[in-house]
Amino acid sequence: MEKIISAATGKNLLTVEDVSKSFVDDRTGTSIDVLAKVSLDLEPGRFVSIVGPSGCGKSTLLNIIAGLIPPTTGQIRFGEEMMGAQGRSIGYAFQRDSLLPWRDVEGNVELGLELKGVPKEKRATLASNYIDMVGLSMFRRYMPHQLSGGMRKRVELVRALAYDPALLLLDEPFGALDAQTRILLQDELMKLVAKKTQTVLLVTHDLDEAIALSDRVVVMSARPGRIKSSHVVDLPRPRTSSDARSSSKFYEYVQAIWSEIRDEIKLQGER
Amino acid sequence: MKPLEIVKRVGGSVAIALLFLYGWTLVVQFRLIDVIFVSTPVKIINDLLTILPQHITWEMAWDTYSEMLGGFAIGAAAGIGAGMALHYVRTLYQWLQPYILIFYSIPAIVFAPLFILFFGIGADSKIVLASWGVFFVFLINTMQALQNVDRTIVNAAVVMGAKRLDVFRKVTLPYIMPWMTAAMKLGMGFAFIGAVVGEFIGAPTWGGLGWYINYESGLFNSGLMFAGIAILAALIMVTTYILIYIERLLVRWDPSKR
Repeated sequence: MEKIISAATGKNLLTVEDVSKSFVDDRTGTSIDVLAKVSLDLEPGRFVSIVGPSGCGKSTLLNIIAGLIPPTTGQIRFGEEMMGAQGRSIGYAFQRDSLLPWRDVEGNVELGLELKGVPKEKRATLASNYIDMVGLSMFRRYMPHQLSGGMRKRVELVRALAYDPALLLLDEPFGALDAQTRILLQDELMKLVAKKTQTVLLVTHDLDEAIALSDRVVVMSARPGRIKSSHVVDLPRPRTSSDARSSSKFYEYVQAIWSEIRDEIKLQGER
Repeated sequence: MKPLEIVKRVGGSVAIALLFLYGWTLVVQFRLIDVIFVSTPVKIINDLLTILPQHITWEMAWDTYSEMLGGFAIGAAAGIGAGMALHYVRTLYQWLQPYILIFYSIPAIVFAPLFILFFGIGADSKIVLASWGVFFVFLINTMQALQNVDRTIVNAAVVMGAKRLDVFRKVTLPYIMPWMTAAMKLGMGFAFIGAVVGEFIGAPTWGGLGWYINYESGLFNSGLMFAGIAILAALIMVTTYILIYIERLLVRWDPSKR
C-alpha cells in the first residue's frame, strides 16, 4: 500500500521518492513498467512543469501524487501544509472534461467546498469570487453544455482552486483548445496562481507552454518514465505567456529542452 | 412553441387519425373485410359510450392499471437492487451472467401458467408477470449505467475529498438518472404487457381489461373488443405523458432530453 509520511520533508511541499509503477495488461498478462524510480522535489510557491514524449507516464505520476492510484514501489512525502483534515490538499484539473453536467457553473465550483464541509453561505461567496476572477459572472447559472470549451476549462481551473489547495495539479489542461484560447487561458492561469503564490505541477506536451509558465521544467524519458533532466527557467515574473515568448532567452530554453525530448522520442521510435 | 407550430404538429397527428378511421369505414362499407371482424369506427365509439358509464368498466380498468403499477414498482425496485449488487460484486455477476441472459431471452408468457399456479388466478399472478420484464429492463439499464459513469468525474470528486457515499450521492446517482428514466418508459410498456397477457391467460370473470378484450373477441363482439382496446390505449398514453413529465423533472440538465 501507499506510504505517506507527513512533515519531516524539510522545506519541500512534496517529495517523490523512487516511485515506480507497473501495470498488468489484462489480455496478455504481461507487466508494463510505466514509471521507473522517479524522484522529484517540489518547493512551495513554485510552478513546475513536466514534459516528455507521449506515453512516458506523466499523467500516471500526477495520479499517484493525487492519491488516485498507489505506486508499485517508492513513496510520496508531503510537507505539513499538504496534509489537511481530509487527507492531501490537492486541486486537480484534468485533460478531459470533468465538470458535473447536471450542475451549473456555480454548483460546479462549489463542489469541492461542499465536500470540505464549508457552510452554504460561505460557499456561495467564495464560488462567486472565483467565477468573477475568470470573467464568468454572467454565466453563473449556465450549464456546462451551454459553455464553450475555453469557458469550461476556466470553470475547471477555479473549481480546483476554490477550496484553496496547497498544490494544484494540471494534466494537459489546455490540450483540447485552439491555439488562441490556449494562450488566453495560460495568462489567466498565471494571474490566478500569482494571487497567492500557488504551488503548481503541470503536465503538458506543449513545450512552449511549459517554459512560458514555469519556474522549472522537468524532462521525463521515454517509457518507462524517469526524470531525465531539470531546467530552471529564469524569466521575470509577473509575466504573461506572450511576454515570455518575446524574450530571447525563451528560445534558448526551447532549443535546449527540445533537443532532449527529441532524443527520447527517437529512442521510443526505435523500440 | 408558437401557437402556429402547435397547430401544425397536433393537426398533423389528428389528420392522420381521421384519415385512418375514414379508410377503415370505407374498407367495411365496400365489404373488403367483413364488419364482424373489424367493426367500424362509428360502432366502436357507440360501444365505448355504452360501456364507459358502467361501473364495471372502470373497475376493470383499475384492475389492469393497479396490476401494472404493482408489477412496475416491484420489478423496478428489484431490478435496480440486483443491478447494483451485480455491478459492485463482480464475482456475483460472473456467476449469474449466463442465467440472466437465458431468463431475459425466454418470453415471460411461458411462465404465466406457472405463476397462476403459484400465486392464484387473481391479481397477484398478474403483478408477478408484469414485474418480470420490468425487472430485466431495470437490471440491464442499471448495470449499463453504472458501468458508464465517467471515471474522470469520479476522480475529480475523489481528489476534492469525496468519500464513497459522497461519490455515490453527488456523482453516480445523478449520472445514472437518464438511464433510469429511459428504463421507466421501457419498463412501463413491459408492465402493461405483463398485466394484460396475464389476464388473457386466466383471470376471474370481469377481471381486468385483458380479460374483457379476450372475452368480447370470443363472442365476436368486435366493437366492444375495440372499445376495450381503446380504453387500454388511453391508459397507456396518459401514463406515458406522466413519465415524460417525470423524466423532464429528473434530468432537466440533459440536453438530449429537451
